[in-house]
Amino acid sequence: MKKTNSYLAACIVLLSLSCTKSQFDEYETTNGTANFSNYIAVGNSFTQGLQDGGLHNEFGQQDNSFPAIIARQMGTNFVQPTVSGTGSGYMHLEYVNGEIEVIKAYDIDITNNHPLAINYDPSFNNWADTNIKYNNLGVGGINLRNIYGNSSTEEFTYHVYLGSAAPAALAWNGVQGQPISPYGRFLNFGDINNRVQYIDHVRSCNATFFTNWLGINDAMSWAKEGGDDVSGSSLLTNLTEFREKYDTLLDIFQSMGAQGVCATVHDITQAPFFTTITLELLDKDIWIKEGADTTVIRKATNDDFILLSTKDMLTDGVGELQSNPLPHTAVLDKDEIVIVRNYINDINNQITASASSHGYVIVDMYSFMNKLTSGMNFDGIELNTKYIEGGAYSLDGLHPNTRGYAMVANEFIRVINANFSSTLKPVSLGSYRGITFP
Amino acid sequence: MKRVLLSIFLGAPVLMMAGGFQLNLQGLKAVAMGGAFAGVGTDATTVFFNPAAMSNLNHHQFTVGINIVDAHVSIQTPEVANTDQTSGKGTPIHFYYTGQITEKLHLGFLINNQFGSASSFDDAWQGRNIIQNISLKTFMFQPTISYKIHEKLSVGGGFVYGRGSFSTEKAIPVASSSTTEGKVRLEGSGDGVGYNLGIYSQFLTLGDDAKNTKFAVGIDYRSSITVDLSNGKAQFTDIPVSLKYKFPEETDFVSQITLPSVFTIGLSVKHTISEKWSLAFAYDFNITGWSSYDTLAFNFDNNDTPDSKQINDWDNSITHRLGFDFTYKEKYSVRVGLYQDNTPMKDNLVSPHLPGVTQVAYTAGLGYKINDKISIDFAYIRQSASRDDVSLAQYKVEDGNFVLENGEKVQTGDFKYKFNRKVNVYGLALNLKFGGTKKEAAASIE
Repeated sequence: MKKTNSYLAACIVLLSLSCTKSQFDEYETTNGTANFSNYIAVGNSFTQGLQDGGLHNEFGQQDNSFPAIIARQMGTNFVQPTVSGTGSGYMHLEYVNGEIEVIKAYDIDITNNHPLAINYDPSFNNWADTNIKYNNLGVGGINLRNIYGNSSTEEFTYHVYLGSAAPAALAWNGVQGQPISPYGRFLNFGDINNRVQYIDHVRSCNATFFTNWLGINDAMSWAKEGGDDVSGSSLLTNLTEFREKYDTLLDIFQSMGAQGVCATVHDITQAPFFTTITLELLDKDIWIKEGADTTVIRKATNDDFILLSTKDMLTDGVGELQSNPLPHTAVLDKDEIVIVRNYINDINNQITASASSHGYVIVDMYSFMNKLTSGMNFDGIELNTKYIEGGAYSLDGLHPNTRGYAMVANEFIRVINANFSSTLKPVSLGSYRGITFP
Repeated sequence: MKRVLLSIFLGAPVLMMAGGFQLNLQGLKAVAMGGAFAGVGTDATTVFFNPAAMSNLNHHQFTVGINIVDAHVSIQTPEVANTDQTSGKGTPIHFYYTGQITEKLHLGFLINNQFGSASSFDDAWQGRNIIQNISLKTFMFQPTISYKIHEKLSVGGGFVYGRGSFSTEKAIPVASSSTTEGKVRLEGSGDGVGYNLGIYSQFLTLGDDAKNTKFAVGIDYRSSITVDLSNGKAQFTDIPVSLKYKFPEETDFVSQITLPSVFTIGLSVKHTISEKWSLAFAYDFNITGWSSYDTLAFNFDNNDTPDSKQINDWDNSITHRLGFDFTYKEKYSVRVGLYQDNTPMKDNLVSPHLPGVTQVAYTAGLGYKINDKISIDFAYIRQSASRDDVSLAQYKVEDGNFVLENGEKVQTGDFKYKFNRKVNVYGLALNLKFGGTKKEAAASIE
């Protein structure tokens, strides 16, 4: 009887314990049909991890570029040209007299910089070893058309932009011989006579897998300078040229046998850079000049976008009088908005067609980022396209912040998993930094 | 920029489900029989289940009991394979008294924990911006009277005074150069009143004294109780300096928690086979009035702190309870039962805090009568539930208010997860009876 009782007791204990195990098994990350052993990211500032109008890594901004996040989830080695200290200099927030103030990055071309403006770090002069093979080939400012030149004049122009030989006035740091953009200096572009082009770096990258989010600047460089329906300073890339160069790029990946995904260009006009300064916010009439080649001066309407970069001009009273209108570079007027939106649709059609003819998968960033405009909620964190408050865009109003990039990474991961039967884990956005408040 | 409008919702999703928030552990004979007791009423716990049945209890009877609720909940999201809730064990208690004053009049009293819940996750858990932890404790006090209208019919009623205390924490997604996110803690306590009314009838007896079958029916209604949290305190920590006007170190708030009404119809049949054996069957049908729920709303003293409004999106829930009691020589009892608990939450509002699910739980228990004055009851509940497709809807919030379009809330996201929930409840109660002769006491068992 006693023995029976102790058996019975043992059984009850075992039963109770089995009733309390609620844990789930750990996930296993699998690659499916993909080979992630050498993942290469091509793209522009969005791929490089640029935010707040600069390249910086003080809170892991570069370490958490969207391709770096993807690579971490792949479990693959991913080399990036990280900056140190204050990097390229960047915009930040200060709390001054009870108000949150946006402080622009230190600008070497002007004399009245804000005393708190953050300048580039001295180490940025000698940034990055060009002998290293980088996995992240994102270069801030690069247009798709810049990846190679169709003539030696074009090659020269692109070399001066990315590689070297700019006159002092144009060079990024005002030093003659430096390039216009500081962001490509981690790649060896040769010298002005023995030029190496961006596409050459792609050609020698030996990718087994790639992400390609080029094309944004082909629309954005034009739009963020106020566009111009006749003769803007930075042109919208010609569509035929766009397609030709996109095809060339994918030909190269195809011939090295790389798998990969290509992302469409999102509707950049929904970014806070374009939507923050409204007439409602200013609460007064604003006079604008429509374009470089027109003499039309009119009152701005709610259909025109006054650019975020115009803030200081507005503070100085520009635009208040018909005789002193906002220049055409300060406004993306209603006609230009239509032009850039149509253009984005056009290049997206080209991207989709090119990817599909090469057998590459599309990450539809256009549709995905549209959802952000009406707001998305991740794990209780609300994200939308509002400036600062929306939590997804950085202070420059064009580039996501780290949390926004993590969101982008998750969308890439979702598409990769869906097409390569892989099981890469998405990341929780709460672990990635949004806006840094003072 | 002076005023930053952040889409941060400070309300707590009401996170509580019938099986967790409402503690159906108020009497251990009942617990062992699936929670059915409104038509049984054979001990002092009936002060809670159906005050009218107090009229069947002679002399002075006391019951005091405690439960240990051992819940294990794990959650899986696409991002994180496993997150365990870190809540400790709950120990709800109960105390009951009934006393016969005259042949027709009984008085009773109860103290118990009818509602309560405590759940928490570790600090880094993925859903911390929805909920980090939440705790609700209530104590009810109920002076009660019953009156025997007729040999077969009695009525009873009690005035309920409830005290509740509440606290919750969640993360606030704002960072500074030295912090990664802020946190808010809300806590408050208050009281409220309600009532508990019952009617009981042992309407039919078949057979004779030695071998018979007795039928009884009971109806009970416990009103909702609104606990006013008039002295709530909100504390914000790790908030960037520039946002402290909005999330100050401390501000007061007012809120209300409505504890739902419960309507019950119960039926019991007791079949006495011989002097040695009896078999009882009980069934209860509950309707719990959860429809007033979904979100706890807070109104903050500080003008810049976004108030949160309440959204009502839960359904009333129905529970079926069923139990059997086998008693030998009026001394040893074995009880088994089950109940089907229907979650009041709509599918898309199931919260990761206390995931609700329509489930069947199994119960069992033992009773041992030591002598005419003292008996003990032991009860056990086992719940096991899991779901793989839960999706907590999230809505667009502007300055603390949900955004509506065409009268519909604008949904902006999902918190998708799977969960496993395993619960063991162990209960122990002591019943005492004073007054009356041994013979009377023995007779009163029936």
